[in-house]
Amino acid sequence: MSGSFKIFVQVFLIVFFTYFVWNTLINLPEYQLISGNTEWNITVGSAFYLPLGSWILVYLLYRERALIGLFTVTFMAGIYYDLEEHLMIGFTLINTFGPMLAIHLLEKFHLADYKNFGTERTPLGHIFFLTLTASIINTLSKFTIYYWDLDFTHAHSIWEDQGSINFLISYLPGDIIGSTVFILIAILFGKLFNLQKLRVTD
Amino acid sequence: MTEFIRNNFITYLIVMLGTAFIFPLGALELGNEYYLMAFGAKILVFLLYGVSILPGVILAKLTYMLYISDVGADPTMAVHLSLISAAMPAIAMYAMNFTGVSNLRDLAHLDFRHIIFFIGFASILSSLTKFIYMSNFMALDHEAAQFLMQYITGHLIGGTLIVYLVVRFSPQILGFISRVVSVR
Repeated sequence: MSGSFKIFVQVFLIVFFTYFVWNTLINLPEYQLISGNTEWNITVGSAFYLPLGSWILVYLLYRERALIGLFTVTFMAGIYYDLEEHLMIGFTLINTFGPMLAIHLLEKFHLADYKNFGTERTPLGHIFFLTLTASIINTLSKFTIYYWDLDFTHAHSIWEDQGSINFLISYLPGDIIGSTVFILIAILFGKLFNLQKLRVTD
Repeated sequence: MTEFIRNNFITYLIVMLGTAFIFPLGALELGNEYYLMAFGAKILVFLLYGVSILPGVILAKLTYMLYISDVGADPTMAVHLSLISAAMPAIAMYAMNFTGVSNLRDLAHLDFRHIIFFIGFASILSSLTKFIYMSNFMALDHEAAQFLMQYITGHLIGGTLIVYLVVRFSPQILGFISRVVSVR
């Protein structure tokens, strides 16, 4: 197998597995009892949005080479959750490029350097700031796509959803907590089971 | 203690000066929401003095909200908005220092790129919290995204413009003052 294909498979598996875990979690009766959401609704974010953490992780590991694998899984997720056409396109692009934008922003502004993630020690503070930035980008861009000209595109959903404010209040903390928890668990497991050796290198 | 009071007093004056831009821009119908100079003044004082001037910023915002702006009719809202407006750049600054991505306390060795990022980060935090708070009082669903983006753009332009102008022209102004003083 070529290196690129191995990376594609690894990225696919990591992100797909995270989606699977997260989807199972949000469908647990206990979780629904705590969050108060009995059915999935696009305007209400999850309290632990783990997939964002997986997108950040695959970018930290493989940089731009993770793009195709990530795009494939997030596109499949859009189909699975039966998103409207414009939301599916917009959300897939945000999911694919959002974490990459966050990493590049922090690097271009000379705030952090993630090029040696996994080989050299990256300060936890830098990782936390990355999850924070990626969460803000993810929430704000999805919010913009969903609410921009809402009155023209699907005015009916104003009455169905729980308002723009709930969108922000639920998405942002969920993204921050979920991505941070995921990254911390990934780093811990990586160190405990020496998963670094599984990383594909050229 | 004297230094603390002096810094807070200077802060109060600078932030009030920043809010003064609102009126000429409003009269020229340039759209205040796109040039929030007051935010730039706030960012500037936080960069100059650190988080210790928070009381001065809160006082300046309170003065503006209660006695100058339209929000004064609702004192509770004025107090809340003043606190949000003053605290957000402080939180952004603290987050950047705490995570170790930048040291905004050391202005002498600060990379200008860090300042630009700080302005952007504080803009987003400030706009988001104001938006969330304001939404309790008005129905914004129809134009929620436009409202928020307009807010963020205003904060970004105002913040960057003021800090850039000060950084760009302060050496000339200081040089001119020192020449005048030395001639005398």
